[in-house]
This record gives sequence, C-alpha cells and structure tokens, in this order.
Amino acid sequence: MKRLNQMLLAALFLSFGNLAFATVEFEEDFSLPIVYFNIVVDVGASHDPKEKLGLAHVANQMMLRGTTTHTKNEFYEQLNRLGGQFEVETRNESTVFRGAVLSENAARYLTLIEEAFLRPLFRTEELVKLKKEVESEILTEKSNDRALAMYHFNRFFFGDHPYGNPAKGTRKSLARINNKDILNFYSRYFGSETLNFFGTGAIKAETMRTWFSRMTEKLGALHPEARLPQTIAPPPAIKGRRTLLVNKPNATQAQVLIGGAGMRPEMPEHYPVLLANHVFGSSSIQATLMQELRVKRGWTYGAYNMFQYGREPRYYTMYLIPNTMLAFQAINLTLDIFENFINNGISQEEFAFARTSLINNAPFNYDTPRKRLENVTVENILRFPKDYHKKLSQNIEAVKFEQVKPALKNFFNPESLVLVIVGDGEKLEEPLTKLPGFSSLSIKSYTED
Amino acid sequence: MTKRILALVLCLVFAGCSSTPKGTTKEEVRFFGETKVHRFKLANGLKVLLLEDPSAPTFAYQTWFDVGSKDETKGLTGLAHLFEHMMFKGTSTHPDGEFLRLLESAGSEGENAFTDRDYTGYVENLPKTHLELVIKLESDRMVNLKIDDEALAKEREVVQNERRLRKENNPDGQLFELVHEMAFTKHPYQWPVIGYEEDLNRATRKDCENFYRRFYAPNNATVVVVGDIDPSATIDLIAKHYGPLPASPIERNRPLKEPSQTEERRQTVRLKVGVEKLLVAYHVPDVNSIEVPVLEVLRNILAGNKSSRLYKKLVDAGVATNVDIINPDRSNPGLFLFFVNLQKNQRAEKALAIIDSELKRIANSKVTPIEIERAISLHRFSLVNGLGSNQSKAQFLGYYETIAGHFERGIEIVDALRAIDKFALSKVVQNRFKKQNRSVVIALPQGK
Repeated sequence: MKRLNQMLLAALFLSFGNLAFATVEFEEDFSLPIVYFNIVVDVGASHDPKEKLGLAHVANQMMLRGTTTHTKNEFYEQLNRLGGQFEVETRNESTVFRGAVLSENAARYLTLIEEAFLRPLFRTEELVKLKKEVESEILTEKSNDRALAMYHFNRFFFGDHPYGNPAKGTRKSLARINNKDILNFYSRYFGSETLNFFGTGAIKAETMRTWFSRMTEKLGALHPEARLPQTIAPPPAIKGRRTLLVNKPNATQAQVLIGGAGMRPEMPEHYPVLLANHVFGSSSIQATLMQELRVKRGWTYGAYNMFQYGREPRYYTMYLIPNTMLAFQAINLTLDIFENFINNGISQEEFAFARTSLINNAPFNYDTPRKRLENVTVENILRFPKDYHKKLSQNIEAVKFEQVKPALKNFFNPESLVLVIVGDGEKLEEPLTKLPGFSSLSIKSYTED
Repeated sequence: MTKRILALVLCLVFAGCSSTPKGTTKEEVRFFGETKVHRFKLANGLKVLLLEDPSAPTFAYQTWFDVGSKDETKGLTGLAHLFEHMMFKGTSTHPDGEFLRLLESAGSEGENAFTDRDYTGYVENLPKTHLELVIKLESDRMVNLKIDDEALAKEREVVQNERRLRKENNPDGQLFELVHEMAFTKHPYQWPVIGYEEDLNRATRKDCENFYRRFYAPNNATVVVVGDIDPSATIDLIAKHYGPLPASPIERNRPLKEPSQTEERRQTVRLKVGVEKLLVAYHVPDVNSIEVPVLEVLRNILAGNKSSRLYKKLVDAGVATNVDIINPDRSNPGLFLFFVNLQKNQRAEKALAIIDSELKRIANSKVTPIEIERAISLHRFSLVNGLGSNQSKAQFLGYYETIAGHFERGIEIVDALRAIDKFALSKVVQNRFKKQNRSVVIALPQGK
C-alpha cells in the first residue's frame, strides 16, 4: 500500500512537471544574476504554404511588434530598461522564442513577455514595414557567399520537399503574405498544448513553472482549437550525382558544399559514424580533410564534414572554401578522400585517438547552464533521445572498432551526392562538366532567389 | 609524546603554508561579485592571472601577447597574424602536429588563436586533470618554435585563402579595410590585421623568426587560467615550466602618433551588394581615457538594441535593415564606427543625415535620464551574460590586462557608467563627433 502511494505521488509530481502535455524544464542556477529561457513552438519554415514561403518567420516576428498595451517601441524601451532581451528564431520545424533578463527584474519582464504572447497587436502597418525589412535582408544576404551557398544547397538538395523552404521566403512569396495569414497562424499554433518551456537562471523553478502555466492556460482559452501542425514526411532519396553552380562573376574564392542524405540518433550507424567522422571531417586540424586540403596543400582555409539534423534525416555536407583557380582540384581530391574513407574506414590508431578525444571532451557538452539549456531545447526540437548530449560519451565509448567500417558503408552512398558551388562561372563551368559521375549541371545567377 | 606533537605541529605548519614561488610577486584583486583574481608576476616578467571557479571540472587557459598588427611595418603587413598560424607547427621538443594531438587527446575544446591590432591570443579549454600538460606545451612553444620554409609556404596560402574569405569576397570586410586606410595616415592601425596579398607573399622565414624573437617572450605575455583550479598549485606549475624561460628585450617600433584629422574624408565604391551600405568612423581616445565609459553609454543609446535611437530612426522608419556601432577599446586611439545596411531603394546619405541629427541632439544635451538608465542596464546585462563561462571570464581578464596594462581597467569602466549624465555625453559628442574627425565610406550596388 505504501509503495502504491509512493507511485501515485511520483505520478502526480511528474504530471505537475508536464502541464497539459507541454514540457516544462527549469534548472536553478544562482551563480550569476540572470535568467534565460526558451519557449518552443513546434511550427517552422517547413510548414509554410508553398505560395507563402516565409510566413512562419514573418508571423513570429510580428509577435514582437507591439501589443494591445504597448507599441513596439514602448515594449522594447521597457524591456531594455529592465536589462532584458527577447528574440525569436524561426527554424526548419520549430520556432524558439529566446528570453533573457537580469534576475532582479524578472517579475516585470515576465509580465511584458506574457503580454507579447497573449495580446499581440498585429498592426497592418507593422506588417508592411516588416516585409520591406525582410526583403532587404534577403538582398543583403546575397553579398554573403557562405549564406548564399547554404541557401542554394538547401533548396537544390530538397527540391520541392518542405525542408528546402527558405526561412525568410523569397521576395515574391513575401509579397503574398497578408494580415489574415498572420492572425490565422497565431490562432492555429499558439495554444495551451503547443508550447514547451526550457529555462535556467537565478530564480525559483516554481516561479517560472507557475508563470508559464498561467500564460498557456490563457492562450488555451484564446485558441482552444490550436494544434501542432502535421508532421513532415521524410524527404525523398537522392539519386545520382548532380551539381548546381551559383554564378558570382569575378569571385576569387569558391564556396563548395558536397552532401548526401543525413542521419538520426536512432540509426544503428549513428555513433560509429560520428566517431569516424571525427577523424575524417571534424573542425580539428588533425582531421583528414583539414590535413589533406589545408595543412598539406594550403588549398582552403577550412574543410569539414558536418551533419545537419531534423526530425527526419536531413543531410551531411563536406564544406570547403578554395581559391577559384584550385576549386576543381580541391573538389576532386575531396571526393577521392571521401571514397577512400568509406571503402577503407579508419585505422585502429585513429579509432583509439578519436574515441579518447571525444570521451575526454564530453564535459564541455554541458559544462555551463546555458549549454545545458540549449541541449534540452535542441533535444526537444529534434526529438532526440532524452539526455542525448549527456550520454554522448558513454555511447561513443560503447562503439567497437569492427562496427565502424560496415557503418560507413551502410550509411554513406558516394554515388548519390549533391554539389553546390558559389563562384565565378566563367572559370568553373567548364571544369565542373568534367567531374566524375556528376551527370547534370544546373546554373543560376547569385542574384536569383 | 612531545616528539609526536612537535612532528604534528610541523606538518600542520607546512601544510598550511602556501608559499609563492621564489621571485614571484603576488596580490589578490577584486573581480566581479565576491570573486577575486590572484595576480602573479614571475621574475622573468611573465604575468599570471588566476580565477577559481569550481562550477564545472574544466578550465580555460589563455596566453595573451602584447603584439599585434600595430607592431608591423609597412611592406610586411599581416606578419603578426601569419606568425600566429605558424605557432601551431613543431618545436624543438614536439614535432609538427603533436601540440594539437596531445591537447585533443586530453579532450580540449576550442583550441584556437586570434590576432588583432593590439594583441595575439592563444586559447584552449581542458578538463581539470590536464593543467600541467597545457602549461608544458604552451611554455614550450613560447620559446622553442621551429619555423621551416615549406610549412611557411603552405600556411601563407591558407592565410591568402582567409584573406579571400574575409576581404576580397566579402563587401563588409572591404569596407572596414577601406575606412581604416582612410582614417589612419601614419599609425599602423591603418592596415588590416590580415595584411595585404603582396606583403604576405613577401614574408620570409627570417621575417617570422625575427618577429618571434622580438615579441614572443615571457615578459611580453600574460597567462590567464580560469576554472576548477587551485591557485597555489597552479602558480607552482607555471613557475616550474615558465620560470626558467629568459626574459628578452622587446624591441618595438618607434611609436607613430596619428596626426589629428582636420577635414572629413569620403569614398564611394561599387561592390557586389544588393543594397547600399554606410560605414562612418570617428577618432576616439584609447582605453585609459576617462571618455571610454561615456562612449559605452553613447553606443547603447544610439544603437545595438531595439529601443535605441538609431534603430527607431533608421530601421523602424524603413530606411535601414540594421544599424550597429563597433567601438572596441584599444591600447592606442582608435575608431568609433557606425555600420548601416540600407533597405532597398534607400540611400546611405539619408542614413548619414539621420546619424548626424541624433548626434547633434546629444551634443545639445537632449538625452533623458531613462535613456541613460536603459543604456546602463543593457551594458550590465551584456556584462553578466558575458561572464557565463570560464572562457569569457578569461577573455575579459586577458584583454584588459594586455591593452590597458591592468585588467582592473575593465572593472573601472563598468563602475564609471553610473556617473554618466547628459552633460558628459554632450561634452564627448561635441569634442569627438565632428565632421572633420570622421571618415565615411559608402558602398553602392554595381551598375547602379
């Protein structure tokens, strides 16, 4: 009987910590007089209608553009006077509202934030201003070669799949977004069960839980029909090798991204591939790509292979930034090294070194409260296993050398690759047609959306 | 019994003694909150700053050298940064690659380096059990580096690629390079830290060796360690490995004072940009000036947050996409920079006129107490936010110790903010923010 009572009490505690299906996690930390939190809404750029790309970004930004009590300027004047910040990031499958404030002003700050969530004004004049700003941001980013490369890689890799949706939309799609879209977005996605809360800082956890619970209850009363959007289907498989050249005349350096289908932690190959990738393409100067392309030859400032995660597999990308005149050789060498890596794996010595480094490095995954906050946020957003970051080192430790080569062969498919290069078309177009196995070459101007 | 008591007493006496290594001076200095920094100076001139923080079983280790592009000569620009790349090569004790391999095997995080106009820093973060390893490695490369021609040739090409990334193919980088060239006619702050292509091609192994001998010595460095450390044990280890390193005379170039600017300087360039860009630079004093806290408040009043004047007058008014102010503290008089990305079809001249108008209002003391209060709150937030890791605390200490001569200067600046009023702001703006004291660069889209 006593054990049953204990179980019932435990269940009550757990349900109190997970209010109405929303996740609420807060770590108290009184070492610095500051409070941080992330409020996650499970809607992002992937959920934008095709003709209105950028909707999530614009709608989220409109939440910060004035309330029924304060104009946008008044809101920020008050917020900043409290020593606070409040920003929003529209990601692929979710939105993160990030708040931070000096802890002595937390109570007044939270009142303002609650106002932003419960009583946004959505003035048409603000929407017009915001759209102009975003359009200009899109134009400004065209002079940032790295941003250009990532933008075009996403769109070219995923094609019509929603993962390829650019977060800010295009100039054409922005023009179609109207105030009714914003109001619908708000009422559809902001309810009692659609927000999750993660935080840390110099305030009692109970205070934050109570505040969040009260706010989401009110949101639920405002929007009883609010629901999470449909889950995104997995992206289609990449077939063959294809290339996109984004022509930027006279560029003396190329931005190169070569990638293939990504992975998830649930895949049996995940940890062996992560470990092997530490040898092949981590940001360490010791990694193979860096050694071959930068250290031995000086052909690039950096060379890495990174994984981008989503709730479905996204991609891995090998990234290099060679001198235009050496871009073709650098790409060829990268492909050779990549194939060698898949076919031959890594040596016992490399395995041991990577394993030791990753295990010893593990404390840095969660050594500050802010890192721990970002970890739990990302784990929630990407639906990673709980404590993925905390358990990373023990999972790496469990990998055996014999698992690595089969995992590489199972996971990587060098015959199915996407290559995107931003650079001088006059110098690159002809050599790119000679890349082994790359049958199709598309070309765009860097000024196109 | 008496002998046992005596032995016990002696043990207790020696256990309680935290003797400083011979020839080392020591003091404890207030940091923020209740924390204290242990400051030491070895006999060979090496400065050491230690800050204990047991909240995680890790530490940040940083070595700051008082050398940067300000110590270069015309014709050999970029040498400080190129040399920083070479510091990761082999020494007489450790072959090329071993330095990083050993650190990575130990689990290091963020091992890197950076070069600025005033300083060069080498940083890494490690689990707490590897303190002696990093002390050994860093003390070794401070004096035992070997530079070979082949490695230099390759690293030179890497730096040229970095230059292409940050300057040639980056409009913002090009603008910043231009404005410094215009604002400084004599002082070494005029050339970019990364240097010019032809100068990088000119640098030889001998140039690097000379540079190393001139500037890389314990008496030109500060070691900063922040984290789960025992300050006594740490200074003992540092003294053990750095103590035998000899001091050497630091041969600086003859200081070149930048003459006062007497008229506005302007340039318009056409770049691959989709919108116009504006960069405006005013000359301001060095880090030890009493004006520095005033400039910090001014910065927060004018830009950097959504309640700032220029955000409202430029971004909110549909003229710009963003407006930022860059105002790094410097060991020599530097620049206070306004950087604006215009919105489509908006003109940089319009943004400049708005900036002028706001500066004029401040010069006429039209600043409210609430604006000042807000600026100070934001600064405080930024400071507290920035103290959230061992690395950032170490950075604060190393930075001010190197550019100001003592890290307390950073704390003094923070403490001085509260006394700023509209009259102090008005005086600084009248004094410094005059047209004849500025350089203006405007970027127009090509073909416009």
